[in-house]
Amino acid sequence: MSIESVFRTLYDRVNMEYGLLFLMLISASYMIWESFNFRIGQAATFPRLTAGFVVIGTILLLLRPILPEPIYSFVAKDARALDVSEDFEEQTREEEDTEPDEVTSLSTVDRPIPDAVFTTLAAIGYVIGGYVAGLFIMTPIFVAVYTSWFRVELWVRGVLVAISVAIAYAFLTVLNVSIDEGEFLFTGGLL
Amino acid sequence: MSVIQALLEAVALLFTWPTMGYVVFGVLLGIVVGALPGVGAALGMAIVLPLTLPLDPINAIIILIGMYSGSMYGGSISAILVNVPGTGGAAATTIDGYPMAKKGEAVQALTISATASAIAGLFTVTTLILFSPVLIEIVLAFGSPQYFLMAILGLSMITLVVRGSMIKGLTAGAFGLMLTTVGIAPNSPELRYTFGNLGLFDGIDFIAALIGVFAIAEMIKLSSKEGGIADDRFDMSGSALSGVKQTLNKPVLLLKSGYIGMLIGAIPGAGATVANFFAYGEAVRSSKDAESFGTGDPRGVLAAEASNNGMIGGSLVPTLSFGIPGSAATAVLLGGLLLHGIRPGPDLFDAELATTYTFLLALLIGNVVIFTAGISMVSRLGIVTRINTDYIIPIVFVLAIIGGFTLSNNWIDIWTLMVLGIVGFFMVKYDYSIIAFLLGVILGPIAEENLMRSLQISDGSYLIFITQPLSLALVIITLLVVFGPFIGPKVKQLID
Repeated sequence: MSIESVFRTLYDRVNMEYGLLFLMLISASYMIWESFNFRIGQAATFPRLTAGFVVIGTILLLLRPILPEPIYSFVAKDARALDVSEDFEEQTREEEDTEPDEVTSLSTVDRPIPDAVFTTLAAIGYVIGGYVAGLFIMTPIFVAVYTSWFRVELWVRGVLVAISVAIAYAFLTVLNVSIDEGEFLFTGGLL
Repeated sequence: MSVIQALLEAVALLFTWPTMGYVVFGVLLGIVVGALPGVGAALGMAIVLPLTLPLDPINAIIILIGMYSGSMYGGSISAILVNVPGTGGAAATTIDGYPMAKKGEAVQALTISATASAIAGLFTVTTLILFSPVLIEIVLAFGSPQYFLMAILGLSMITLVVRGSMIKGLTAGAFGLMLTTVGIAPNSPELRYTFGNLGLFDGIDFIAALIGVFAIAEMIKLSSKEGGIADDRFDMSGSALSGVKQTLNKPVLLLKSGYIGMLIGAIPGAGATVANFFAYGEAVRSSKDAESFGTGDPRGVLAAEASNNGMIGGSLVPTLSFGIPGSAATAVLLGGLLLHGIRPGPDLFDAELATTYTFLLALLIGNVVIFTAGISMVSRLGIVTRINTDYIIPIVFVLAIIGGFTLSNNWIDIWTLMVLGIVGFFMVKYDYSIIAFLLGVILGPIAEENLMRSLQISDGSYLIFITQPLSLALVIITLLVVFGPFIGPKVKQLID
């Protein structure tokens, strides 16, 4: 099974909305449970109110398919009160909405993994690399990797890398941000 | 401080160097970010936010307000030239703007956009200044219980005007509020959900959340679209003078659309897109030859563009008075105000009235800059829209991540930014209101503080939220907003 077909299967079968709802539900449940360990009871009021609401909301949304009719409408239906000339809105939205799952190819540049997944992984890599060795050194590497993946013309890659170095250098010198220091490498600063 | 005294002080404050320079800079920067499809006002402002840290508060906010105003006009450039709105607020502009460009009237369409944006902006902001004494009276009548209830009402209203189910919006808002409970509790020394990590003692930085949701989430989304933008390139033909004349010849449509924008802008969460379509729809409805709309009718561009700049003044009302943003861009603006220690609410209409007027006057001057820049650079504006998004995305990432680190040299901010960026991406994908979520993140500490203060006043009784007439009215309005769309039709059915 190729990487592309793995991603295609994931796209077809996994509904990430459930992932999002479970993330909210678990974090809210933890917050309610943890609030009982607070030494000052007053400090637990707001977390319990908000997390309680999140728990109720996520459970309702998770159980949408099996809810009886009046509750289903309340939970699932669009309740927009302002009619914003939907004909016009739809007309323009058709051009705006090009979600990845609507296109035939997973990647716009013929790569085996979806563009959004690569971008997310590249950004996470940038941050982890920045944490280890400092954002200053990771910045041009991130820009070079990203632009190479998206097959940007070579000379533009060079210009973008130069711009990114200039931005990082400006932050370092003008705003005095210690982005040349990593937590494990270059701990004393690269420059 | 009297209104006149505050206005004079604001004029003196604004017409100094470098403050006036910041107005011009902010507007020009806004035009550029607005013209870049996929970037837009909120994202542009979120990226610039950390860069304003070294500036004094008034100049920093003036840059953000200038960007907000400039981007509304900038959004029309790509809407007209490449049929892709730079901001949601220019979505309706594509309907007639792009056909005008195809007919060889690109310059005319862009001039109509600049003139309508500037004039509508001037009128609506002037109206806002004239009506500010009334607004001051209203704002000063609010106390802690009412501010807490306004936060809840604001969240409820947002869920009513955005796409998707209300429960999704309310859950997103509550999730945002919940995240703000991390860190030291207000009014008590309790440490909550910090896992002993020093970096979490101050809680989750709302600016990091803003950057994450607007920059990271949007860039992940944008990266999955084709990179090239400007497939069609037009000769920049048409007459600029004719565009100005056509706008001035339709004063009723111009002012009506501007004021529609202003009124819709004042509704929390409604924002420029709703204002844009509403004004466009009204222009079509009230015209005698509705069939000409959609084929390159200048009135379509005029109505859409007058409304989105008119919306700006309106959206500042709930933002400055109650700390409830009227749009995504004002959510970032609110973040900027809080970042620079300016707290929305009674102070901005009492002791700090001159500051409020400085912002409104900056907006007024910004409209003059839009007109001047729009007319003088009309033939060169298309260049911005030819920038490939594949070039923009890595640079936005760099600015967002290093900018996030600048907030407090704290890696927690970067992780917040990344995690909320990814969560935000899925929220957008599945129609969970990110504005409601961000409003929760921004308003959380204020809402909790006002809730706790109210409960202290009432010795822990929640009756304080219904015993005062103003509080009771807010509770009733909130209930109507939440349950109205579902109960209303059933009540109507029963009556019929």
